[in-house]
Amino acid sequence: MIAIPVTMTEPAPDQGASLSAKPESKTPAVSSIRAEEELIIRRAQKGELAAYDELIRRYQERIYATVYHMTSNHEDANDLTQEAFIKGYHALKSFKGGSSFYTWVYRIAVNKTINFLKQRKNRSAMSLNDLDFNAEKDPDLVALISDKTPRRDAALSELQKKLNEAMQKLSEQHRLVVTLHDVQGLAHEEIAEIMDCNVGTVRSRLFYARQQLQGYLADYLK
Amino acid sequence: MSAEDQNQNYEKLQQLLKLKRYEQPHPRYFNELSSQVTARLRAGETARLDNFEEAMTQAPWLRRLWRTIEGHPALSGLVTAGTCGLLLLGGFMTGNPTMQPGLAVNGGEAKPAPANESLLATTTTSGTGLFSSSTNPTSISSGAGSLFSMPLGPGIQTQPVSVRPNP
Repeated sequence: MIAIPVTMTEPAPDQGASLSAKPESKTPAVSSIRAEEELIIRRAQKGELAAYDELIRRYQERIYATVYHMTSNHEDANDLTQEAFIKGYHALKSFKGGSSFYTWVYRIAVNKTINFLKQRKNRSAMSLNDLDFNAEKDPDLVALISDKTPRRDAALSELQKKLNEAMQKLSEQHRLVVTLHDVQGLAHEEIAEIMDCNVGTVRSRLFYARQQLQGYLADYLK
Repeated sequence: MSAEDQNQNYEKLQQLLKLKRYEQPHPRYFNELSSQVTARLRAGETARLDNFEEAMTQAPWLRRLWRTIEGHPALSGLVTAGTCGLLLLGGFMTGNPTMQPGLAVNGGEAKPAPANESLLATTTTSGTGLFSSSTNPTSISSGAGSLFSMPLGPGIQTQPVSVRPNP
């Protein structure tokens, strides 16, 4: 379905407090991971569900995270993530291997999410996930809330709500670039691949989105 | 706002966005997700797609074309106007016939219907017109009965006719 010959970077898994993506390196370890994955993909293309289950486990957290950050709704994110993997399975036969499987399935999830958001007539209520307890220990986050606040967790929850409200005010495209770059740490080139646009467009959208967010969250950035 | 303030705001925004990374579903969620997907696949479920999404998926060129049109309002207007124009033209051409074939029921001989009368005329084998459907009052010969109650006789034949002006 999507066969785009491109050199991709493999970002770090989006688990909890994972930070920026690692740049690509053509080390033997990466090559062997790719070769192993190709074998799994071939088995899945033959209809072996256990192989596809393995692929889902590799990428489910990153895919779910992207969809969740776009929708700010856990239930919608759950449905869309499952739908994306189901669609990916049925389209697997057309996967030529020109791009990485990770990019390919990412694009399916992103397109599905954007279509869902555009078709959604009324903005559904947010259904936010709880914050991991490690958030209270992050010095960057602690610095954003007042030292005089008696309950740090309540302050962070309030901040989380405001942040998600601000993200929901962005257009889908702008929200996506912020999610993929600033939250999940993907490189500009990877984002351009997923969004099917050029790197310049990614940079300009990112700049605009950050300007918008700074405006919406001015009170919390002082 | 000075450049320094802008940079400071930007850094604080980056710190704030880190908060998103700490948003996590319940701990068992990812243990169950893959098994739920494979269970649905085993049940033979296919992805829910609307026609638009399916078309976009099957034809990446269509997706690019759609995005180009979406991003340029003037182009969208031109495409819409062109489509409406084509539809109107098609409607005009199909609704403006030059010939309108009709039916005349004759007694074995094709007779073109007069231009000022309806195309439908019924005669018996003797050639006498029983009725003619027109805006003028209909005259029916004696003993003929109404159009709908009178069966067509064995000598009555139907032939297509065309309207021609009287010479």
